[in-house]
Amino acid sequence: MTSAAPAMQCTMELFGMARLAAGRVAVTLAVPRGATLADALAALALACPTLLGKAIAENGAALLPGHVLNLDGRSFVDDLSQPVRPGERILLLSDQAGG
Amino acid sequence: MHGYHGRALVIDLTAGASRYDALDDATLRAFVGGGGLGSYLLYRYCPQGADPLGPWNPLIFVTSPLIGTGLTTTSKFAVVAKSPLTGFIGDSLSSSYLAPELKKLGADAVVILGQAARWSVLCIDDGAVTVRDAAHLLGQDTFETEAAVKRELGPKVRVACIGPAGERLVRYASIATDGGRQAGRTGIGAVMGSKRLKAIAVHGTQRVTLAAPEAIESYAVDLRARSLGQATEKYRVLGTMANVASFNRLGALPTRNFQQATFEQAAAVSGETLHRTHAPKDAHCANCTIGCEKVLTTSDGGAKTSARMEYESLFALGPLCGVGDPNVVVRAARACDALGLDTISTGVTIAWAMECAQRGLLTPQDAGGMRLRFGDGDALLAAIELIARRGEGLGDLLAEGTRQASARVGEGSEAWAMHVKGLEMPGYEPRSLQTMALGLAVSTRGACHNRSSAYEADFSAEVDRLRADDRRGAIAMRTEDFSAVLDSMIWCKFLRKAFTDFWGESARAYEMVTGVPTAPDDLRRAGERINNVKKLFNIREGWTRADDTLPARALEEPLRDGVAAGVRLTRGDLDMMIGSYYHARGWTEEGMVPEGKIGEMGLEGLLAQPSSDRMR
Repeated sequence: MTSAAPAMQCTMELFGMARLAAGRVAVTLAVPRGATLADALAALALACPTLLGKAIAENGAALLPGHVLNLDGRSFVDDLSQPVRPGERILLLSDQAGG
Repeated sequence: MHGYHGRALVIDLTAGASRYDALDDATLRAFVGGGGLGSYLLYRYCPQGADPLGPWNPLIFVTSPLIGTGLTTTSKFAVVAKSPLTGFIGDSLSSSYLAPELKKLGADAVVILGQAARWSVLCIDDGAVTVRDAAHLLGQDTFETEAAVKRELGPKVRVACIGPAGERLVRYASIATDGGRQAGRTGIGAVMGSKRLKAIAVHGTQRVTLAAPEAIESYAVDLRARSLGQATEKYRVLGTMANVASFNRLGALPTRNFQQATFEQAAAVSGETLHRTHAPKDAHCANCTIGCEKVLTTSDGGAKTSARMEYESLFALGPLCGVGDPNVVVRAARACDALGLDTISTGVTIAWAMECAQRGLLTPQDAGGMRLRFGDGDALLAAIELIARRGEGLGDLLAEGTRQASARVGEGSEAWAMHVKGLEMPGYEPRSLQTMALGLAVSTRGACHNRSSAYEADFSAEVDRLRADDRRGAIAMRTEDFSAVLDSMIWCKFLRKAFTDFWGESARAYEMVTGVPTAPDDLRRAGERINNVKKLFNIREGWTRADDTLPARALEEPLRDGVAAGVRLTRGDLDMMIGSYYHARGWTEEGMVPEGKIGEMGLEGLLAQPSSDRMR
């Protein structure tokens, strides 16, 4: 990834504690082409600093325990080095689903 | 051995007699406590072929080695019987102040056999067993019953009771404690009703010794701190209601009797919204630091009502019945708690009836003038009352649960009777959670999300949740054995991610309590043994390979909406996963437990148990 790369958009959808902490249901982010999920997470932390220490680690680049990412509502991912696709919707939610 | 009393209190209501039966150390170590020990005791005391609602189906309350240690979330008991819904093993766990009181009775379990001559309150004061007339309590709800028994016997007693649903043998009646907490699943409240027990009042003073009390206290402090960390924050702040929005987005929220996997009004009943609109009050189970329970109070112009609300009640009485008004769901949940009904089976059974009405199979004439429609809150509330009182016609039909009700109605309605082995489905859509589909199909207690937490794999990158494969058998076995140990120690499942090493910590805790050197593998084997004894009980009661399946809807209809629209789970997919599960368990291709596995698990002695040990 380089800072000169053209921007693309992705949307982070927030659920559970992340939604409560951010006070928002979803956040649309501009990230450079070639950005990774970790980059998107860092951009989300900049847009919603209240997520730091709640869902995102203080360094802005990792999820805190208890949270997980899902792509477009279909696939869960644990590798944050995976590239973001243009227009992708990234769900940030709890990794616990006990009822 | 520390941590146990080493005996069971056996009460014969027919004979009006009680005795203690010894539980040796090897048995206690093998089955740990709670659901595990209860499964062993059910095999031992339930005569083969016993009528679930007849006198010789034992109703067994079981404690665990961790009760009374101060370790967070461990004030839980198991109650076990042959289920009147499934005809197989029935068990339910509940967190309650009843648990430590039961343990102080001087026994690790209370086995109740026979039938009282008249409606009674069973009083157990240390080892002294008496029965009191309960005629004046008949018809009272669970809140009224518990309060009345405490008024009569004093505030020190702890009470388990049934509501009108249990009195009328509704097949999914629950047992209530602590002001409306329910041991809800598999119809154990009906078993209690069949014994003509309106309530059980318990008071004890006999404490067990602990092998290493100071070490336990130190561990309890550490675990308590971890229980308040990031891993449990969702449960502490939003409770399990938080599942609604995420399940909806993932196409996993059963709606309108599993006809849909998303609900257009999900936002209105989501945990996030209710946190804002209804300001839930936190409630804690006995000796629990997490406090996942959220008490909601109605916010409309009607009479104020409050209810404990969790995901399963919310899903079953809300989206599954097409109801998007949270105030209706609160009233429905409160009614179920008061009447003594399992909210899951109640919601699923009413949703089945709503679909029958949608298809013209249940007309208002059939339903006593009631017009059952998805989304009709008044109809939902009226149906709950009718079921609990077995109101003529519809109430009596629905009180039997989906399996028997659909068999009576016929006309193909079995295809949308959403149960496994007779137990109604919890709020996990099997077509979009295909590891969970396997967990639901093979669970020994029927459609259950607690005895197998296979859904954990679906909510992770470990599997593709929308496709089946033959790795799922090993995963389902792993989650079942894990759950069996959780349910036997007994820890709350919501503590699971607060452990840094569940097996290691559990082994150390067991050793600190009992003084018995315990390795993590000892507990892993206990988990496997417990699931084998449950299966052996079911086989003895007539289980066949055909019982491990899912409702036709889940296997014949693709999902129609949400991100998983078009996704299918075929019979072939499920059969392949079931085969992989039997293989992982070391069972035969037909799912039977071979002699070698019985020997490996050390279960030969149990199978050879003389029938005289089973009372009848």
